[in-house]
Amino acid sequence: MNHEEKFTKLGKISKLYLFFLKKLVVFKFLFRKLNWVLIYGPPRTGTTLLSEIASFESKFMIVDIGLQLMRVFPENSKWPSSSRSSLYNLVYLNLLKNSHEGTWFCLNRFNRPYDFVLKQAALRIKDYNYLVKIFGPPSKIYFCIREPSAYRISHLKKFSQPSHIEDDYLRSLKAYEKIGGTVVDYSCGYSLEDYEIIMFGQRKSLPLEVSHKHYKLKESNLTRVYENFKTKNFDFFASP
Amino acid sequence: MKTLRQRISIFLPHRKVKPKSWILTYGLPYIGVDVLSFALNNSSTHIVKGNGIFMAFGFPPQFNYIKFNKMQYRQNLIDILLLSKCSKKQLKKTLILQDHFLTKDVFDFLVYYWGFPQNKYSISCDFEYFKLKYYQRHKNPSILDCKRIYQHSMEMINEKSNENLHIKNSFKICELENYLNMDLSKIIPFKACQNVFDT
Repeated sequence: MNHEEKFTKLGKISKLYLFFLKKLVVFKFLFRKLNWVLIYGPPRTGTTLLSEIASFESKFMIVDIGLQLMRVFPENSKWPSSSRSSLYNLVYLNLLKNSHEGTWFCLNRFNRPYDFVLKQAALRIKDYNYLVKIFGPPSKIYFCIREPSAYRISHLKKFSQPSHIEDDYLRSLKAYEKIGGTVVDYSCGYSLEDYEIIMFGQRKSLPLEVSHKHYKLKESNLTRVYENFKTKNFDFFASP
Repeated sequence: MKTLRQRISIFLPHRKVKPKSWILTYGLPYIGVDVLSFALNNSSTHIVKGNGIFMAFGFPPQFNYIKFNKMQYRQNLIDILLLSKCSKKQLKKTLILQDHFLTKDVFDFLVYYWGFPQNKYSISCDFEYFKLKYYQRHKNPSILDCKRIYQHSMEMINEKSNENLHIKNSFKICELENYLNMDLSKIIPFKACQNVFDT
């Protein structure tokens, strides 16, 4: 069942409940009291999987909106910072007002402590700063990472843009230095239960399948960067 | 957004900013769209450069998992563009909107939001001449980038080719005068028969 089908299958009461939740979240936005989760990292490193799992405890979900695209025109046209801020505020409010219900909304759970999960692959530091300025600091931050040879193959398969492979990886590692958060290594081959324990501290038995593809390890420029990152940030790596 | 007042203000309905009337100038960059806009400018008009609005129209990417009110976003974008480039007085004048990289998407939206422009003017040239100008302007030119810009800008021009002024490397000011049906000798301080696009 895809996401659209799940939404159309919501009954009238669920839709009404959803409407009130949305109003509540927008009201909380007004007072900068949002309780939200940020998931970021290079693309193809398990960010989508993690956001799906995290949305079990959240009311809404905002996924890969390409925040950096919004900034290109105002920055190139040298808009004054006040005009840029006005636009960004309106865009973020628009995103919040139109955000999806969490993936597991159809399960009719009422315990949803987080207002929304925002997942953005290859998040830029500038966009993070705007997010914090507008939504307030996130309650939880997860950074996804993956062993470079598997990452490289997966990236190439999905985007067919070899020139972006290293850029996306290195940019994300650089962003981590500023943003921080719990590191989740996709290469560890965690099971769904492991992810649940990492994220919720207990098993939730989500109806979700987690499968990992195994790739042959191949040394590259990124391998050393990845190893250094692991050594440097060992304490922040999540383990079930 | 430091104060509650500022936060509340973004929830309030925003004033729509619409020009009284508008003129559109577009065409290939580096070959004289600026001169064209300048020639049209007078005391009752105001130029706004919106080069590359199409980049902002590409947000957010088109995926079915992204829910976003695109029309609202585009209206906000155009409103803020005008507010940032025009004073209250200038908003009452006829607006000359200049966009080198106009796309059909942007044009259709502007027509929907502002109504049809009073006039549309565009300039194009052959690829060889454009390449020459492109290489003069860029420190690190790339032929791929040059082709990409040319093709992008020509898409809209090809669609409305009957309104376009196609120039060659020996362009004369009288051609521009004929095209605009105006006497430019007082407006543009260039000698007649000079290639204005090479100045």
